[in-house]
Amino acid sequence: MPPTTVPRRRLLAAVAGVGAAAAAGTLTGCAGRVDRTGPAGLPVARVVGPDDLATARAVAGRAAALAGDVRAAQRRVARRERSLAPLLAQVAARHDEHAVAFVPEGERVRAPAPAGPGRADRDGSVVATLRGLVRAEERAAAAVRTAALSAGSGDLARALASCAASLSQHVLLLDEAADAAAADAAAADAAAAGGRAGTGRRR
Amino acid sequence: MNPAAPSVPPAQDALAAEHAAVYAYGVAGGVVDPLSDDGARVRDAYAVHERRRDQLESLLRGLGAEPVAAEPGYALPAPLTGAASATRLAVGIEDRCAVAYAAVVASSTGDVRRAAVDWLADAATRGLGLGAAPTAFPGLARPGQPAR
Repeated sequence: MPPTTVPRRRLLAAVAGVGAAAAAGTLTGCAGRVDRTGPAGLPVARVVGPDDLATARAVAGRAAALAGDVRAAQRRVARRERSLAPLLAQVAARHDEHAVAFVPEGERVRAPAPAGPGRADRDGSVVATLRGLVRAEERAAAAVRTAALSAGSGDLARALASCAASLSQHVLLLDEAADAAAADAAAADAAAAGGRAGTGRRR
Repeated sequence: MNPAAPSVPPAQDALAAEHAAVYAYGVAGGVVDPLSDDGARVRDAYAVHERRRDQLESLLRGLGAEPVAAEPGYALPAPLTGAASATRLAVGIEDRCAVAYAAVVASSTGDVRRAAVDWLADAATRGLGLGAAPTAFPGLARPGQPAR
């Protein structure tokens, strides 16, 4: 496959200055060129081809869709659980970063139509909303991990693996938030039941 | 495969990071309460990094390379005075390993890349559990920012 001088400045900017390559000064400052060399002396941008571009475009779109889903969830739960707003805003912001990093320059992110809330989510429980987000992040992490394994470019593989790791962090964070919300809901239910029992005894 | 394989230098760097991690978690284990959550996390991380060190040594031998040896000792970035400093050290260790794994991902294919992708995710989530801030690109530096 011939070298592809693709308008990849944003993605390459995200992976430029990375790890050992950054330490060796091999990538920083020359993003987007195809004659760069990586830490092992191999061309690193040269192997970015149409398949990798399609992968990056798809990951960008998925990230944008996830950002939208998280913000929609934030709006749904905001009135009941204001304390979740910073977490959800930060998760959405990282999805935005993923989308910006992977979208080819000169293109707009094409986010798939939002999946919309599931039945449990529509019912409005904070816990159900958070669990739904956890599942979405898990699916995305698995998909991006798979993309990292098959990427032709080492640069792209590294960026995708890092993105997948970030999504795994989201799973952990949202799962913890869901557990905390479930514990709060159980405590509130117990308090309400105790109140009803107390009322009953007074009757 | 041979010692000149592109994945050898990054794998050697990752092994060096693992040697440092095993040393650091060993020291950290001496200052955290073994019965605390931090103690459990440090113990678990120590075991994980020992296993990974061994995996990397096997991997490098499989590539025909002589694995780098551990240093006789390592300078800690700050004195360990208790659980807080131990977990800060651990966060730094996971960060360093994440950078090393990301480099292995970039230079490898197949099973080696698969392992490095999973190690990177593990370092990112393990660091989070130890108090690191989540980031959009664990193991990567942002443009204009040095790799941590």
